Amino acid sequence: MKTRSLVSVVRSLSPVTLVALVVTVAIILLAIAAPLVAPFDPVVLDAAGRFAPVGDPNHLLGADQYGRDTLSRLLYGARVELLTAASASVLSMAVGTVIGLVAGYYQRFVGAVLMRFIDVVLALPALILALFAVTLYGPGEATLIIVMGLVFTPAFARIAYGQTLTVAQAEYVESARLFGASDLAILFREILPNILAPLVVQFTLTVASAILLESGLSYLGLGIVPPAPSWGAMVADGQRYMATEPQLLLLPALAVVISILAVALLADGLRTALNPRSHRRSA
Amino acid sequence: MFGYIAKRIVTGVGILLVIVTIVFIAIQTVPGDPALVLLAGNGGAGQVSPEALDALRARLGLDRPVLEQYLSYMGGLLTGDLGTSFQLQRPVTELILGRLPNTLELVAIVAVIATALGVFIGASAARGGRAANTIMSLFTALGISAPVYVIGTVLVYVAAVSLRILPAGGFVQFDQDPGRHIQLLILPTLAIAVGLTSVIARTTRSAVLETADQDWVRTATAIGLSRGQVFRGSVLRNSLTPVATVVGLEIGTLLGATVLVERVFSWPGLSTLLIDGVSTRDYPVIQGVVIVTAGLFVAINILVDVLYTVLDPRARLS
Repeated sequence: MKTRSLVSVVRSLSPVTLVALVVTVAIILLAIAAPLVAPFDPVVLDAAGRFAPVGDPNHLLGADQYGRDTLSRLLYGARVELLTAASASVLSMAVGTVIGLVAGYYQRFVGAVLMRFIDVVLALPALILALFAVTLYGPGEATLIIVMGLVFTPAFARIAYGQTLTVAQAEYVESARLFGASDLAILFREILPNILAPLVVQFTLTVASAILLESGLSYLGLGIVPPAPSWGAMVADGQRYMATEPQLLLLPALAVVISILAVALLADGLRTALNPRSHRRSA
Repeated sequence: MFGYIAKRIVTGVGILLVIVTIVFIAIQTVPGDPALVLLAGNGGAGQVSPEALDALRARLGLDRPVLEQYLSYMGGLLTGDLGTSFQLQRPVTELILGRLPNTLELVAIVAVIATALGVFIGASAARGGRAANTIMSLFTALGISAPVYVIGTVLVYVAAVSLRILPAGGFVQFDQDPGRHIQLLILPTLAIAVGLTSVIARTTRSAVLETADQDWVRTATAIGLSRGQVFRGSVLRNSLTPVATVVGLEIGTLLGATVLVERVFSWPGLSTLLIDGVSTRDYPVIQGVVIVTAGLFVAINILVDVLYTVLDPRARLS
């Protein structure tokens, strides 16, 4: 699996996964290019443009109750959304993988202690844990990234742990040890590359979950601090005006669903493509 | 088997003790004095007299050493006392017990509906052709990807604002007006059930496909049982173990989903209590809700584990 090139992985993806990949890349590019593409500053107020409808010559996707441009807010919202989701996923993957590797390799005491810590984190529903942390440390991007990093760590740790248990028995690990490789070298040069595939799949899945969690917190008004744009807060705002201005609710709702769907489908497709066993069982 | 259940309960209690301790320590590390926040509100701290502050701290027990506060909290916990709300001046246990049934009602109804529907959809898709499989995959992917608050608000828009067939939200006690109570339940449960049903349908489908490959299924077919008999007798029952696992894993998501849905539909459950507590920095309330939720989560998972051994005799051995 280590030797399979990126090209061959992409080539083995199903059509649905390819579409998901294209949509994901498009969202990432739009998020990066938001300052260039967005027609307005996302927080600037425009009294004349209040509740501008979709297709308004000035505001392509309309404007909200303060006249803030919806398209610009969606684009900048994507930026915040992806940045927090990706940072939290990187953080949890790094921490979780190290915990799982170490726990799987030094099974006895260290392993037991680390995996009990994981059990404790798992015993709290993610959203409740996040709400608790936001109460203590206040809302905002930094809190979000750290909290979501913590919330998503157990999944990585469990995967890394299970995989390490198997791989650590492999002959190439044994031979590396006989050649005098240090534990550190064995962990990161022999074991890690061989357990990376399921972790990459989990990373993609985590990005989707992080967008889900972050936008939920922002919907509750406890995620991204207004007036900075976030999709969850836009849905919450739109809910107040949905009787007369349904687009204010439906557009951000659509943005959330499309991006989570694209990333989740991508994760599904990657799981199939990276799992050698799934080829014969593909239904 | 009873030994196994006892062991699970002991670990569960251990995990809860750790959580209570972590929650307690976390609250101690927060910058800012809750008594000051309580007196000064969101305004400046300038007008608060030091005497009033000291009096309040004494009344809330905040002037005692941390270890003493911790031990008295733990002691209270044993007798079901979760402290007193800063804001509402009422016992937290009483506040939580007042809300808990409403949240549990949502969770229980969703769990039952989603499991039944999910197993049915998943099993049908597995027995159906390629088209049925593709359609199910796409719809369940959508169901899993749409956040509950999005499904909830869009449901309100469609059913309450556009079609005007159901109320947009609110709450009425069941014994006051059963019909209205059920009407108000429909949209919130639907909003949460979509995601869980999708997850269960997917798990059921792949479990059924996997089981159908097994030797004993071929044997059952070979001895002349009909397709329906084979499916009910050999395939479905053996596919339910992974489904039980997933239901257990999803309970956390389910409890989190109630937070958002209760907000969307103004449903007075545990979560609205939590969010009110969050916005007013009512630490005893937050602490109580977090601990009770964790307790629920641990308890439900033990229940699922027990169910597991009932479904799969092999699991009893380990």
